[in-house]
Amino acid sequence: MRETRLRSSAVLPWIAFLAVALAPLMMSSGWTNMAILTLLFVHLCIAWNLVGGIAGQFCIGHSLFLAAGAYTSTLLSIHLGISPWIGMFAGAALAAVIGVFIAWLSFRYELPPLSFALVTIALAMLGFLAISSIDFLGASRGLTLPVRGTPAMYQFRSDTTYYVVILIQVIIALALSMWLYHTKIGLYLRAVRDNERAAHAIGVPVLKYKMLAMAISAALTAFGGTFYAQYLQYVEPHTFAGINIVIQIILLTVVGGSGTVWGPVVGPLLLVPAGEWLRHSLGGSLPGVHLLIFGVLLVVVIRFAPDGLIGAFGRARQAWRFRRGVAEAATQ
Amino acid sequence: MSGEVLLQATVQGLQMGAIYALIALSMTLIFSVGGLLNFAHGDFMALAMYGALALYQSFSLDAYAAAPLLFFGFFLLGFLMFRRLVQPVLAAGVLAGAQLTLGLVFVQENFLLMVFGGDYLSVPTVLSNKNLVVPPLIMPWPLLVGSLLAVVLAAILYVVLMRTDFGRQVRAITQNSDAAALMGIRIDRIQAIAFGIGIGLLGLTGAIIVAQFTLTPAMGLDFTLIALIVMVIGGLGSFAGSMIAGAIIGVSESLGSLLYGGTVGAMIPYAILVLVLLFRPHGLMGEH
Amino acid sequence: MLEISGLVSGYGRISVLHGIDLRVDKGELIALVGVNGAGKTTLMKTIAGLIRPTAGRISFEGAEIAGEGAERAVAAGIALVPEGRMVFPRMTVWENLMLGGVHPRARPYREATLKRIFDLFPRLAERRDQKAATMSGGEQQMLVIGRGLMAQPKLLILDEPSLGLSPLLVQETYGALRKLNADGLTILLAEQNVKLSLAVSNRGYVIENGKIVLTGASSDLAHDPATRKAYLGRL
Repeated sequence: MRETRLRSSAVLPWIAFLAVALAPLMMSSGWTNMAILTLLFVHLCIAWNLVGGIAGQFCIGHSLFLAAGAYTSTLLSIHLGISPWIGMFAGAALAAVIGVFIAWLSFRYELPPLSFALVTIALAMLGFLAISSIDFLGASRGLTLPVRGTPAMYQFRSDTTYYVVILIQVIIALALSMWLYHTKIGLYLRAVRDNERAAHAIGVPVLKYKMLAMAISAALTAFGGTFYAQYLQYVEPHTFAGINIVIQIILLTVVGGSGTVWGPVVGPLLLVPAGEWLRHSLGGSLPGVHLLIFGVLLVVVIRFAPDGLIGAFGRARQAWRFRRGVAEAATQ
Repeated sequence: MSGEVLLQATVQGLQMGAIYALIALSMTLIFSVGGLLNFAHGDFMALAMYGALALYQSFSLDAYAAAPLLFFGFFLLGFLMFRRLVQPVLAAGVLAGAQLTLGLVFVQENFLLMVFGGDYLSVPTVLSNKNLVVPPLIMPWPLLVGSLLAVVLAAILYVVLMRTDFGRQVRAITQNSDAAALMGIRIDRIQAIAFGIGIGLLGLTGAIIVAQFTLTPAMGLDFTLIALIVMVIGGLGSFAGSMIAGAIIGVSESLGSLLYGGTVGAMIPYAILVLVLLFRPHGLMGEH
Repeated sequence: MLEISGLVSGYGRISVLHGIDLRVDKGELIALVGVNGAGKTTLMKTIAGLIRPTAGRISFEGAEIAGEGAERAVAAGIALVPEGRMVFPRMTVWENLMLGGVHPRARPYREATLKRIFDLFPRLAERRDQKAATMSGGEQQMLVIGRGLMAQPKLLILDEPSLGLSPLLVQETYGALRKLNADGLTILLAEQNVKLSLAVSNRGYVIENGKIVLTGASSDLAHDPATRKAYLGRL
């Protein structure tokens, strides 16, 4: 009894997620675009959550990883004709190296949480400014990918194929995040989040696990960057290296529930379509109004559920169980 | 490059530095209230600048005359916002507070975009486009007046924090909130007032420097980042530290862009921030 | 003056105090003795309004103050000198003392009280402009007592004032307390140091596992074998 319940609680969210995720395949192409954007954010939020949520390192530097993935694969494709399918791994490797370096910095200099956030912001801004001024990287104009039109070069005729690609990426990322969360690694990371000094004292190799989390998170983010660049067929600094996208990633994760497995899935899954819908229905009337409503929505959720929708859902379920328990006890 | 040009850039950098220092000090005041890192800091100031624009457009009220009005308006905004929004979220932790302010960035930027549109705007004032010429220097009046007012306001803020009962209560809460409660200090109220003053100062600052800037809805983030940098480099809560850090950032930014171009000029503050955080984590003048 | 009955209090769902009854009359110096973990600090904090009790009454001069918060307790005339010398570390001695009298009830008398405190602890007058964090443990203890007095309390509550002090400083601190009591201040003193606290007090309470197990005149308690048993039994 107990075992089946455990298993159903692990499997049910997957079934629900896949049902939602597979739906766009049967819809018209106008929806596909929105679905791709949604899943891209799910992917990026899962990646950020590994570091920002589970390990509790408030990192605002993920734009560097996104840029590494987008620019590396694009440059390799433009100058050497290397397929982004290969380039994405080069980008991920570069991002992982940067991530490990940042994790090492924070450990070596014992940065307190808010200082870590500031260092990562500063590095992100430095990266953004550098990319915006280096001609080889297209400076502020950006780079356009040459049209090759073959799946081998990560270019597809139909948006649906892009959708399938990002869906597979999300499933891999989600499985990875779930596995990390429930194994010893996740346990260690959460220990570091709750009390780094205590974790260190009981023998958790803090540096090693911080580096590991950062490397995985950075690499996943870079894969997202490669995908986004191939999907848009160009790269430019504001979209791929600005800290605005990181702020969005953080907010979407927080709304879903950072530090949980399903929080970074739920947040973007609900809010990205909501934002797109607002844009479609209101965007024409007043510029920014859809984003304003979107922002108010985010603030309201943070105000009333600082631990996110997953946390609020958990509490509601507990309260319901408690009430049912009381009722059962009363009838007996 | 002639010495005169360098001098001109240095003076301009110092003047910007004074303004940066004031923005950083109000950020420190807000940070001292329960450790809130306010990522929407510059956006409040942008809101004040657009407020000055609206007051000018509707009532032909000059920005300098509107400054006290904006101070009180923003004080109220801050006070209420703390009570209804910030305090309940801060109770869930410092990170939740920081995340809340990230959400506020989103709200404010898009509010401005919706109301005023995305075009570059400027607010005409009595001082706009006038220069004070002291050969070899040419100083724009708005920047000169803005920086002098910034120094005066920063000094007033410092005196209030260091020499009044109110200031001592704010610091007491920061240093040991349990002990502060034992003194009969109403922590909630003092914090709400301090937060209100911090936001109110941004209203005031926005009004007195609006003539120097071109307004765009997304301008806030740059100010936030500069304030963060100056606050950290100066050492939290140190008046002299913030002034020196403001000067360092202002001058290096100004000279950097003169000598190496705008991008390098913009990069210098961030590079300094990383170095300071790594090697002098408590800032140049900060206490442990 | 202070009347506590049936007080249940603790942290979260964990109760530390299980029904405390205690009385302090005007002008008395009362000792509350018990081992570490018996519930002394919880009781002191509950009286001072830092912890909200789950049951029971705390009445002070006829007014009910249980669970009304620290500000209410200070307004009523209760000052707690907490355990562990919670000074404001980056403020001067003078600033710490000024904060002690920041409550509207005490503010008008600050200058006069300050003078009295400097008379009582001349060391504090010497260190007037020194940061509290840079002072020795004994000086910090004087400072927190002085800071408590700045609130113009009718009842001064002290939590472990002798903890971590040298015997000489303990004598000095207790001398000051005796003097304050002789001048008419009502004092409630929580101590692990049974001998000393029972020597200076009129009456005493022995607390064990969150309950008052013994009470009486201090001289009787000091010689009662039951005190020793309650006290030493857990050592």
